[in-house]
Amino acid sequence: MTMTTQRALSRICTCILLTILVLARTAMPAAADDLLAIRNATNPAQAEVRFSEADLLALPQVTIRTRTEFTDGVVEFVGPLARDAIAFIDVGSATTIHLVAANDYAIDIPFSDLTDYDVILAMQTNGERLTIRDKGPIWLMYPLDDHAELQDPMYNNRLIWQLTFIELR
Amino acid sequence: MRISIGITRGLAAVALLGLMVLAVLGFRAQEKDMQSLRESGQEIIYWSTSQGEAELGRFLAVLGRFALGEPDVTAKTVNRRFDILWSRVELFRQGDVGRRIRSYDSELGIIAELRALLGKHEKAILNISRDDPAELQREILADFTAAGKRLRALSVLVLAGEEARLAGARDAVRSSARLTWIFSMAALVLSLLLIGIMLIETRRYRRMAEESAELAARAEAASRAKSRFLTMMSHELRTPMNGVLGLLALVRQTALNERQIRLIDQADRSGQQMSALLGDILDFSDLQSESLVMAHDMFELRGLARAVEEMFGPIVQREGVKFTIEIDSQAPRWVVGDLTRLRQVLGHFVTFLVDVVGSKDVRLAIARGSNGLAFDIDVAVQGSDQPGWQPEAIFGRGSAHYGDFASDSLGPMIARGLVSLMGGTITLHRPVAGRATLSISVPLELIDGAADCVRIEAGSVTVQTVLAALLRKLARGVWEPGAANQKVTAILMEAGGEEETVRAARLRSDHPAARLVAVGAPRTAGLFDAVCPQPVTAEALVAAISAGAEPQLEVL
Repeated sequence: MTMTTQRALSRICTCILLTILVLARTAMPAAADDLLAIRNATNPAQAEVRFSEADLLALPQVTIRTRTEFTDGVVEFVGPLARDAIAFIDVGSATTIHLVAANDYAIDIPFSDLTDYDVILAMQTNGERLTIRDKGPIWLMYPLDDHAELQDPMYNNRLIWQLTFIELR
Repeated sequence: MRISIGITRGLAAVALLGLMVLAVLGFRAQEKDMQSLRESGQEIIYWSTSQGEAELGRFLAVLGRFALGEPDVTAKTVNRRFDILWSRVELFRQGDVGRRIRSYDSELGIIAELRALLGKHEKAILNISRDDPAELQREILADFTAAGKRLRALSVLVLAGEEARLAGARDAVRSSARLTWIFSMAALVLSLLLIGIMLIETRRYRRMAEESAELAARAEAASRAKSRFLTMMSHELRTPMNGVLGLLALVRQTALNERQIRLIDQADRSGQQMSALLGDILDFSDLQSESLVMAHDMFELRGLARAVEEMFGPIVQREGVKFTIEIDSQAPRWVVGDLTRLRQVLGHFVTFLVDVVGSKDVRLAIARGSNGLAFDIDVAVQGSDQPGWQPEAIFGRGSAHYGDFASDSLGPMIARGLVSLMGGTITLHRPVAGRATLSISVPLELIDGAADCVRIEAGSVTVQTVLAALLRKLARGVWEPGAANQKVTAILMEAGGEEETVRAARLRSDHPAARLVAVGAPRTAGLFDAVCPQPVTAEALVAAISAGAEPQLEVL
């Protein structure tokens, strides 16, 4: 085993331990039916907006047909536009979107992604509802095949699944 | 020289081909680099396996805390963690990421073990309760802890494999970068070779161009020298010929018998022919040196017909040739162009048809053409059976070609050159029923209706002639007594003399609408609309006779 491999394993173990520690303090959505919560960190006075499954299904549904690194062949993703969901909250001066998954994996994406592309909160793939056992109930999906620039691995890493919380920063 | 061109062209083609091949190879190398970089930038799969490990750790932690009876960890929390762990294992089964992880697991079968383990304990986890027997909880914990170790083994394998793959990608990039460098250097060498070839070729072409220019200049100089020689010789020959003709005229005035008169007439005709030939040589020389300039004078169409008729009067009389000229009733009375050259064109063609072709019946018809005048010379011929019938002598080779001609075709050649210079065309119609027609079309300015003209009233013939020539130069018609269709717009009256007032009054009375212009110094300037002092210039004349011009009441 090379030194690099040992260092990587050491980092992974540290990561696992830290994750376990953080897990004890993880806050789940307040209401049992809520799938997603959105908050604007630049405006603490503004109330958090929560979406149930019915709320998200009530928004206009958009279909994206694309391939991903995590699925086989071209898959049909259906769900509301992320910008439609965020429109329920005053964006204010926020420029970044902080997204958190059920396992506390978190990423930041620029706000412009939502205006430049039809990014959706996919809730359905190939006609079937996404479950938590298969990257559901919400998977942030970009129209990767529709734009050459989205073939960059950077956008691959932004396909966060089991999305539960969005914070505007 | 030809071999050298072949070699340089071959080298250039090889160099270009080489550049193209190098460009393709360079592109392929770059494409390979991009592919390697793209692959190295793909989802890092050991991150996925390590996340699986982390998720397993989280599940074990929640399960342990649940077993310890911590109040904030419920059965639902355990189930949720179980589902997330399930999703992580599912990730290994789908997509490119799953395929690559499975490739590392093909011999170990860890993923299958994990799935089997999840299935084995699914029911127990879904129905988990604090009242479950401790043995069951211990069994689940033990199974998943063991699975964690197996998953770590997979992670290590994946990490090592991916490192090797990335190292390979780096090597490929390094190798293709080296290749790109080699190709670039080769392309540079080839480019330098091409530039060298181009420089050699450019120098060669420049030398050839200089040689061609020198040859052209020499040819031009030789041609000019020949033309000068021709002109000079024509002038030199004409002088003694005029002397011979003059002496023949003097001899004819002496007492001669009939035989002597006949011989002198023959000698005179020969002399006249020689003189005409010298004139043709001069014209030919001018055409060849492109120094001939067409006049732009106004003349009466009948004047042209009269001049041609007079030219052939002696031939008609002597050789019994029937020669008629018809002017179409629709033809204009006045024409602006070069009367002398038009007469020369018609003269040369008719002479050729009579003298060379041997026609005894010639009809010249003058009519209005599409943008000028159309001259049809209709002659009686016997087609190709007639020995003198040589259409190629009239047409030459296409356009006027001065390099190669028969001696008889000098006249037609000069005529063709003149027609070409006027922008006209010549068409020869093949003989039909013993008659052939030569059609000449010349673009000319035609003046319909009454032509504006200027009346000249001068006591001196010299002044009359000078003013008429000047007006013709300015394309102005000159009034002729008794001629029809003339509209006098201006009168040039030679001023001075006792009867100036009387003459002016008479002219005013004859042409009330015309401008009365005094030429010279009038006694009473007030009698005239304008004064044109002597010597008369073209500018002063135009200003004086123009209707809109201010009267010039200058008294010298």
